[in-house]
Amino acid sequence: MSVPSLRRRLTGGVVALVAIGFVLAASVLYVSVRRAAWAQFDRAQAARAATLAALVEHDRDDGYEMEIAAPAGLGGGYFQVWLADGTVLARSESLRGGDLPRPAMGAAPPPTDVTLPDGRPGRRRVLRFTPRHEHEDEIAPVTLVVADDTEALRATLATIAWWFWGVGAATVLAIAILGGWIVRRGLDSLTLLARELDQIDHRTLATRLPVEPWPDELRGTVRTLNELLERLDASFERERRFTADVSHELRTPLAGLRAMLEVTRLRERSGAEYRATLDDARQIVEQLGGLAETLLTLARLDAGALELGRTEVALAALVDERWRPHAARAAGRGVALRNLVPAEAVIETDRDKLGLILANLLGNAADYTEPGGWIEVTAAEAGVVVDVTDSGPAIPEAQLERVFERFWRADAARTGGAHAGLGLSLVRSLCGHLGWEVTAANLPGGRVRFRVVHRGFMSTPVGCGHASPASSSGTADGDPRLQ
Amino acid sequence: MRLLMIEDYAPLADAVTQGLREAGFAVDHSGDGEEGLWYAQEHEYDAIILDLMLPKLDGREVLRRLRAAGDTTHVLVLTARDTLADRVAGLDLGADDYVVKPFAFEELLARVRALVRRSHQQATSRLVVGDLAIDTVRRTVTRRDVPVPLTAREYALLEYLAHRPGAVVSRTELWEHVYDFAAEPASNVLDVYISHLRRKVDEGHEVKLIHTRRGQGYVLGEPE
Repeated sequence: MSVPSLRRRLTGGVVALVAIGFVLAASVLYVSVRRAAWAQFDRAQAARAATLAALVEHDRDDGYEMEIAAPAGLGGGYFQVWLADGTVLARSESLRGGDLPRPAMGAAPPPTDVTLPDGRPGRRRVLRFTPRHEHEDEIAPVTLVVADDTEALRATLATIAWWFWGVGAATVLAIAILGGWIVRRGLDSLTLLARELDQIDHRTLATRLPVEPWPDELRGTVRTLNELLERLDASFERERRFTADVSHELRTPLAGLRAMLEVTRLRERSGAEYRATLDDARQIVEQLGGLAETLLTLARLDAGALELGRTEVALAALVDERWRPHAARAAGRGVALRNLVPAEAVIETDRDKLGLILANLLGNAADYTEPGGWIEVTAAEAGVVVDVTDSGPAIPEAQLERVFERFWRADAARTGGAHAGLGLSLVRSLCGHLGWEVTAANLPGGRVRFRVVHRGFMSTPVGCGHASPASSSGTADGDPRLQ
Repeated sequence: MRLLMIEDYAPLADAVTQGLREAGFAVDHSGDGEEGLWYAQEHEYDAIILDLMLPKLDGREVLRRLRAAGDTTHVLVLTARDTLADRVAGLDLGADDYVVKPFAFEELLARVRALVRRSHQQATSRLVVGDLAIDTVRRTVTRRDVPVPLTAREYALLEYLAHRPGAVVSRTELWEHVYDFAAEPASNVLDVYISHLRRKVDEGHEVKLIHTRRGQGYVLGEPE
């Protein structure tokens, strides 16, 4: 469906309104003028008829007679007077001996339009009256017919009508042209806005339109557009950063792998050297494989294409199982796990996804907990799926939310290793799909707690009666609430 | 020729460092921007290989601060970003060359050699001093078209001297450019290598090319 241009619609509307208004006004005016003109014509004719009638008299000796002293002074019209028996008493000179049609006997008919003997349009008036007399005898009434030319009147009315239509059409035309121009001027801002928007593409998303130069009606729209631009810009920026991060995370290990293989190949080496290179290469490949797996899982989660299973999961056992791959690494740093989840605790959910969440939270804790610290897993509070608390150090308050961003790392750009900065982002995505929420919080004593709760159950205030073998180590750096 | 490699991904840094050392360069390695910048400012390097995404101090920032301090050491940037905008931004910051990961080691080596050559205002890979010729790509030395077999260290010393023919090169400078932190420091090790070089290069020739300026250093060139 095509929508006509705003300009055409506005102009069309204005022109139509003006045309309708003009036709109405002109019609009313014309009708009144016409009616007044005819009324005046009729009055004049009636006055002439009365004057003529006054000229007819009757006396006993001469019978009926009419003194036409100055027939010319009575206007250029026609008249004829008949006696009751049909004899013509008098006629106007303009009839030149001819006759006007004689009306039937009876009551006088109202004035009617007729064609005059010379063929021109006219109007006649019939008068039946008893002539003037000075005796007491009964006398028969006479019939007077007056007919006048209406051509001049009609011509005048036609001229007036033509003027009305002409002026009307000219006005409508002028308004169409002028109105079109005014509307276009009024819509200039829109055209300008469209042109400014046209110039914005993916490279210039940082552009913001100034609000001030626009008319009031457009400012809101401009503000909304600016907000939209801001959101677009932010999401483009996120995409750009994500792409850059992905390419860095994939290309750096690849570069390492390639350099390692090529350098080794440059000369003949000992068996031990080859073995070392192969071991290193295998580790990089594993790391790349893990990264690819995580990226794919994230992509599937983003696309909503991950199916969810539903089984009864023994939480404590799953925690132990998922801790195992990290246990040696953590032990090496003197970090120990306390699994305080009751053995009978059971959750009905997707086992693999929950396992992935636990693996990431535990792996994260294993690497970032201070050497000699501890990690504690609990599931005691209402609404809480699982809490993974470690002995710190605290995460700077400003970064608590950012830890869930993709490729965010505590240390800006530590390439490779177990943490590409995707683990917690993956945890958040997975939680979202399982109907949970994950939050990070600093607790008193520099402890850090990652909490998975059922959606709608927001975590309780920080440190509120959360019994824990609080370590006295360290102040909570960067956590103003704990000072 | 002494190089500095600033790269945080250990497998890549280790492999490249090894490859460069085997190609005759002295290489120092740093795993973060802060330390790398300190190395670069404290030592004379013939070229720096710099990763852009670094912990503590971003590679761009390292480069910016180096240039702001007036350091003109040639810098080759390693990056995973390959868009035109990224390349332009890197070169605008003062990088001299740009290699996108993953790269062929041979290419990196060739580019590093070119950078080193440029830093010594040398247009070709061939250095000539009198009747002595050094091919810096093949790393071979000939005198009167007769090959002179040298060890890696001997070659490195000779090449560095050959970049500045006729000029006195101090022992400290020679040490700085030919050895990296991995090398064992010993006070007389330079004298030992110089005497080896003398024997291989000058013995049997009427014109001696390697000269000692007591208390100043060494000179390579025909005697005035």
